[in-house]
Amino acid sequence: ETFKYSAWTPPPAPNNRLGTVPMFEKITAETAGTENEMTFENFMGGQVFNAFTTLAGLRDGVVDGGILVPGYNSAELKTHTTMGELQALAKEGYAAAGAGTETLLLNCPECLEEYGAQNVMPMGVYATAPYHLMCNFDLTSMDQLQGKRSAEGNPMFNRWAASLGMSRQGLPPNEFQQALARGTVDCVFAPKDWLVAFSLADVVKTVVDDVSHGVFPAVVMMGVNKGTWDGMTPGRKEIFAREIPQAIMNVVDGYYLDEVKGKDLALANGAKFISLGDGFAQAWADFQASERTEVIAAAEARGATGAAAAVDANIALLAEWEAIVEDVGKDPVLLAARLHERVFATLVD
Amino acid sequence: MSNLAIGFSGFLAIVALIGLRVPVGLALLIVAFFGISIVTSPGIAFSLVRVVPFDFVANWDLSAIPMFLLMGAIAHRSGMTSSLFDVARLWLSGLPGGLAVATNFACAGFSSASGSSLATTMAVGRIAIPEMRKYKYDDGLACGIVACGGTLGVLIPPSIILVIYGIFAEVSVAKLFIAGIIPGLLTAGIYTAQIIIRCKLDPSLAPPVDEKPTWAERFAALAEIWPLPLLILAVIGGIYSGIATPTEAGALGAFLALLIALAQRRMTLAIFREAARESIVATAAVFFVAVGAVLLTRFMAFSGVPMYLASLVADFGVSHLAIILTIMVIYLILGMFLDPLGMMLLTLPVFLPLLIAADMDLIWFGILMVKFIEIGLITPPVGLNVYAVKLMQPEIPLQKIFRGAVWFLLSEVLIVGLLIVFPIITLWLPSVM
Amino acid sequence: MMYRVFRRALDAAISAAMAVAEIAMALMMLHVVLQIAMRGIFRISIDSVPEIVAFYYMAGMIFLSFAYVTREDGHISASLFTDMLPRRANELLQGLIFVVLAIGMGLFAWETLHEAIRMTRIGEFHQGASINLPKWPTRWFAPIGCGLMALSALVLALDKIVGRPVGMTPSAVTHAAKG
Ligand code: NA
Ligand code: NA
Repeated sequence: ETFKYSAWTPPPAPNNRLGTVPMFEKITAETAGTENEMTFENFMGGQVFNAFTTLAGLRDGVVDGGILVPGYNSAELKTHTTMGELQALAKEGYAAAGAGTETLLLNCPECLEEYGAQNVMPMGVYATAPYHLMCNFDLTSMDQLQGKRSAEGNPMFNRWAASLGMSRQGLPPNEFQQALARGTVDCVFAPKDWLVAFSLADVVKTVVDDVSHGVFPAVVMMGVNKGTWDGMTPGRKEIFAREIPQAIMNVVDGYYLDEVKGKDLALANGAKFISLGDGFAQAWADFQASERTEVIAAAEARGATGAAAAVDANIALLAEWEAIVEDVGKDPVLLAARLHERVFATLVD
Repeated sequence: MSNLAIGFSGFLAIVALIGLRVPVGLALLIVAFFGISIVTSPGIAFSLVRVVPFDFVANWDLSAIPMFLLMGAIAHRSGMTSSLFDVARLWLSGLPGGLAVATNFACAGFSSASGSSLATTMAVGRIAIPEMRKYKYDDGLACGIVACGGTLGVLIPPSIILVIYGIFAEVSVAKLFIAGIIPGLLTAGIYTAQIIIRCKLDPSLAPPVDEKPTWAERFAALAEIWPLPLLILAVIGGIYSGIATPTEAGALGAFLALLIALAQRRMTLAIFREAARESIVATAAVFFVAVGAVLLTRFMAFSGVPMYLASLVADFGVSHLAIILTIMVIYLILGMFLDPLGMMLLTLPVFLPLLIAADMDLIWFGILMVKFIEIGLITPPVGLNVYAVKLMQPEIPLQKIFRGAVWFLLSEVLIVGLLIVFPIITLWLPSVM
Repeated sequence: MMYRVFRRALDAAISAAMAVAEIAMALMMLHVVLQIAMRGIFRISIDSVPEIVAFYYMAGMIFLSFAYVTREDGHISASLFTDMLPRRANELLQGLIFVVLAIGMGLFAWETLHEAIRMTRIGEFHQGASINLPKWPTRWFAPIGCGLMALSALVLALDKIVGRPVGMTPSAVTHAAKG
């Protein structure tokens, strides 16, 4: 039985390169000839579904597994969309992936209900690299941002850009390079790996390096069709539950590796990585403090009435996971073991 | 039958259905639907029918296509282009096939405003083909140059296809854009040479002009049509100054055309409705085919065609040249049936690792790939640019347009040959900038 | 008699759908230009323009014009071999193809109708920067457009198989002939 998987991200993206591709190879090799034999068909780069249609593809069992970002299906996944909006409070990727996964699977029954209504079982989340402000001009002080145009995706940045006196354009990331090159926008909020992945290093002159605007903490690398999951032998479920936490932490690790590559390329192209000073850091800290209320209000506006409890659980778990990362270090193997022990071991009973 | 054999028999079934005069979009849908049902299950085919067409049609990037078409239709129907013919006659009198040459360069120029081939073909074709026909140009030549010149839309920046390729291959979009410029101009140049030679050898293709106009006459004629170049320069300027994104440029162009026509008191609600209706019909008819092509791509994916193609490239690809030629043949065959973007998404994930392993220059390959996949827009049986021309000129038989395009396909052989043998044509400009 | 009423109603529905498509096209142009102007002059951004263009204008314009395109014989097809057939055989083949087209589009309409109902129940929306843009109403363009197209193909099939326009008043026949 072949497990069909769909990702809209291109093959070099960390979730494919360091996540599913090696994981599928490993499982195939390990289970070959055993009763739990598994093979995979990996449709990457939007061969069959894009960001909007993957959920329907999983729902109808067109594919067995797929990558999901709840914000693209925000009506179906109202509550889990809220976890994505907590970006401002998710400071770093390893802890955000751990806390996001633990919240989703153990502390947010509404989230699981929403996925269940779509016939999907989400197997945790990974987080991206931290987002930074990047501009196509020589930025030296915060005042210069007044009246500038920015582009971003997450609604949280709409609030943040507004508080900096910037207007925002809703553009997809594949239009960022051209928009910056021609001055349609002056700045974007993006993780540093996009300097390579979306060619932002072609056009970015300044990256504000001292303050990061959080990691996007809610990418479901592996949503599984419920029928597929229920039909799996306990042995296969156990293999998934063991390998997925490792893949999650490997992907987070990969984003930090790619972040370095992005910075190197931008430096080689003459970009400056600057500090905007205490005023900017203070403005960000003030903004962070207001986000819990904002996010819960947005959740209620879209009808996710039970989101407040999940938000608070996530915030508490972020602190716990930051302590764990402090404790064991940024080691994907050790962190995956903790994630397995705290969350995934309970899935297969 | 293996899945793969089912996948390839799908192509034969499409040819047979189109031969029976089944609408092309329906032929693709039938084959895709039954193909997916066989290689997976009917339930999956139904699910894709439920989800994919809406998602494909409800697309922001593609909105430039109807908007540019509307721009051309407004310009034509408001009479903005009616003196174009006089101007071309006076200015291009010494040049065999002058109007076709001018159309060719209009495509190249318009490509710097449009990121899509279809949009380029539609905007230029709506204006240029009626003028060439008025002047008794051969229908095949008039339609062929527009269908083929439109493919410059993705070679000359901006380009939707090159942006997506840049993301897949992790190479600089700026470098890809710069790399496309010389191959784009080379293409326009070789097309020009071919038009002049053919028209010289066979004057019936484009009736020559025996006038010797004075410069005063020439400029006097120009005064009549100034709004049109102004319109096109405004659209290009809008993009390069960052006022509009390439996707927004279509709407900007249509709106400016409307303003000019209003200022000239040549616009009524009835004329606008006719222009809109005409643009909608052509857009919807092209999208009906494209929806079929998109579902066919899903059928190909589920049949395991991509992995099979990768194994072909790996088997034949002992040298860079062999890899390139194998990939070219694959794209020529797939391009007969699939849309360029779908074909690229289908194949790049399996081709790129092979290219990287062979240490191939990914910028050079990107430009070659654009050439290969864009040829699919003008090859039968499913050639979207040819269809676009047909929709704008319904009285010209489809076969005639395909035949007119064949001449330019022969030029493409030369152009692609040059790009393969001399990578420096592609790589010189990005290396110095 | 009933059939004649049905045909008139269908014609009216197709024309009405086409009028909505024309409005969608005009709004697409104006909305994008408004966005360009607001951004360029006042540095104000209008929320979710790409999504409104995609879901409302593009989907509305294309699906709602499908039946009109069918009625006006606007679909791409190649008459390479069929021209060699006798006229009546050719007509019957065309009739058969229109029956298949009607079945195909009926299936599209049926499937997309279920998706439209599902999304309406969910209240599907797009999460914009500061608004939640309702997306579910746009899901109805597909079943309406494809359904009208199926009916239009069915009527054309009947005309071809019988060999003349059925159930139309003379003026409607000339109108149809003029396209
Ligand atoms: Na272009
Ligand atoms: Na083709």
